Amino acid sequence: MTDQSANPTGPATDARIEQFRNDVEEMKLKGSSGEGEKWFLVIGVVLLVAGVVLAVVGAVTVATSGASPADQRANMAQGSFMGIALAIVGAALFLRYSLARYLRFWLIRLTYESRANTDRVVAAIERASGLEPTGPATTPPAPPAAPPAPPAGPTDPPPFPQG
Amino acid sequence: MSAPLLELRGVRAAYGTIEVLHGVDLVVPEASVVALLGPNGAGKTTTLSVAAGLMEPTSGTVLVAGRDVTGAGPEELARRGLTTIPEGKGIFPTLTVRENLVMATYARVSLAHVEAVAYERFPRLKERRNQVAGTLSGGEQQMLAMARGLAVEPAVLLLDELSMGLAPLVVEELYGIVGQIARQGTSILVVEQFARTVLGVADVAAIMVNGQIRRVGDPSAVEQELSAAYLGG
Repeated sequence: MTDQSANPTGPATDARIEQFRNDVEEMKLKGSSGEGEKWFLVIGVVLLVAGVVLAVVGAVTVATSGASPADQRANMAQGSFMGIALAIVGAALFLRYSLARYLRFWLIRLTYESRANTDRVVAAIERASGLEPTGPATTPPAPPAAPPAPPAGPTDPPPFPQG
Repeated sequence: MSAPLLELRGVRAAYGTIEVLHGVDLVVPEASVVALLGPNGAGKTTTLSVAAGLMEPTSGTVLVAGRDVTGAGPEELARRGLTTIPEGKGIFPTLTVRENLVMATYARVSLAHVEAVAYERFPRLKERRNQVAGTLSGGEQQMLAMARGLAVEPAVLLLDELSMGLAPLVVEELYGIVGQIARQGTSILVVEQFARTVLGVADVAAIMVNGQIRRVGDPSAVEQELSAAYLGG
């Protein structure tokens, strides 16, 4: 283990490290976008469920408490409209953020597969021309195991080579 | 004593619902080489991705120069001096060597400086500066990847599977260069699966198995436990 008190490097390196420390200290860090996305998904689901409940239960309750058929219809319309509006907003939020996650993972998967295919082609060309294969081109990584699920909700990322 | 340049505290990370890092603690002190070794699928590359900001941990913190940078973008960290040389080299195979070096100027470094650093460290690249990078040998491609990373004078260097697909002699040569870089003050975290060569230049070695750091210590002591780790012991 390197002795921290006895720096084997010169003043130029010390200055570089000091600059690095200062640069990192001055970094403006923003909150995680992934966290925000998760919250919007949850809010979307909550609004969707609350809207449907309000539309059905609320409308029935309001309608039965009306004094006349005209009042009942008016109250029912108010209760139902509010519930339906909430459900639409909730569904839109849910779709917007679950689709964004799905498409992002899909794009990563396409990029990964494209790279793996390029490696295979390069390896095949090298084999055909009798060249010594270079690097990972000889052993293209295994493609992701399964296609991503349809955009029914928050999706998982494609499997990556770990190591 | 100043804070280590890179530190992972209790880092957990997952791909979707599958957790692959189960509370990783790792410290890279200033001007030292830390070797992270382990079998395939242990979570080494994921650890590197979390450290570089390429992947966000589900819990735990990533500290760079003592500051919590969890969630910071990789480009932000790279611009300040935390450089990653990824597995599979990460060069542009259809561009020439020189054009690949041009790509390093994103960090507001002049091309002349990038070339000077690269050709001084790897004279062979100067001879091949107009050659398409995809036609270089595996070792030369790795040199190009390293040259591009070193040209921005990194304070912390993350190296992933430097030895992958390379002949032992080439690996030895590359680790000789890694040793030189470390002696000049750059802190290095190097991930390796098989190459014991890295233990020759490392100050600290850690064995990772199943998403956890199993052992940290002196490279010579850790080497004896490597086989057991690979064989599931």
